[in-house]
Amino acid sequence: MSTSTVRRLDTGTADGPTSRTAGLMSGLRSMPLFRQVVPMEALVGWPIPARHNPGWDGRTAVYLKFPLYGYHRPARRGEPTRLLPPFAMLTLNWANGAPVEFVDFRYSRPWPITATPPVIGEFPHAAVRELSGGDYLAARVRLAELYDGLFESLGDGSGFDGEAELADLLGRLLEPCLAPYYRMIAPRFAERFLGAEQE
Amino acid sequence: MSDDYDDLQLDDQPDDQLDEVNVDDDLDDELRYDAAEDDGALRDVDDEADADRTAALQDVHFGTSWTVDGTSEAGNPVEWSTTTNAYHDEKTGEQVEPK
Repeated sequence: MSTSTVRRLDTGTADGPTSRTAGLMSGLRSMPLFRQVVPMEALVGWPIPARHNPGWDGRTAVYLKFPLYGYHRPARRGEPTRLLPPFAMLTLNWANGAPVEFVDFRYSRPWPITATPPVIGEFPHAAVRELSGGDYLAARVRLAELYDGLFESLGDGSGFDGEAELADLLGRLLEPCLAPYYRMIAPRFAERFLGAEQE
Repeated sequence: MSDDYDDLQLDDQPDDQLDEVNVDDDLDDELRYDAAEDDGALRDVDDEADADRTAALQDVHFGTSWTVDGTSEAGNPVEWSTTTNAYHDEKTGEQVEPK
């Protein structure tokens, strides 16, 4: 296959990312920091926004926190992939994409950490299991575009009219087994975009 | 600090989350995977269409790789990985520029 026909992860096109969020997500793996501290067999979760207002220089600063989690490859193609809990989180500055923090959860221990990470769920989960690869990719592309709107609104204080769509898509695309971790990392964000925790 | 943040999110990890006081030796049951609650977890993949669809979803989610034209410096085939967005020597796995 010619490289010109390769459809890159999270972009949906061969020409590059269709959103800044997608570009930052796909660019994470190219970072020397990422390559130094993150195993290749790691997945990048949907970002959690953080805003400092005012930031360190008096201006508003917006950041993206990316939970990183592991998985077990299926023994056979077509079998579900077993997912492991987040093991770290990398935070980028929205303005310039620079990494500003790496947290290894084995060190910070925001929840109990075990020597052998437990399997917490699988991919594909029920909400996406019936989608085609193309539809799933399109949904990912769209969610990344919505994240752009959220980050922009956080930065300039403008309104964000995509909240309902973002919540709907994130609720479907985020693996349910990761939701409890998102709730622990960012309870207010999770409650707003993932809804109240189910009893 | 709370005055500095609006209600759109802002869950900066509070300091006490980084404190060992917060560490509970007992695993929260909610974080355990219970196959009994997920009828799809251990299912047999005997439907080819389902398997293909699952594989396609995984290719998008986890990335995949394709063999591309050219070879590495060592003369090995080269693949493009959507996981790393880079070319790799298929035999050594090293990141390369195809020749």
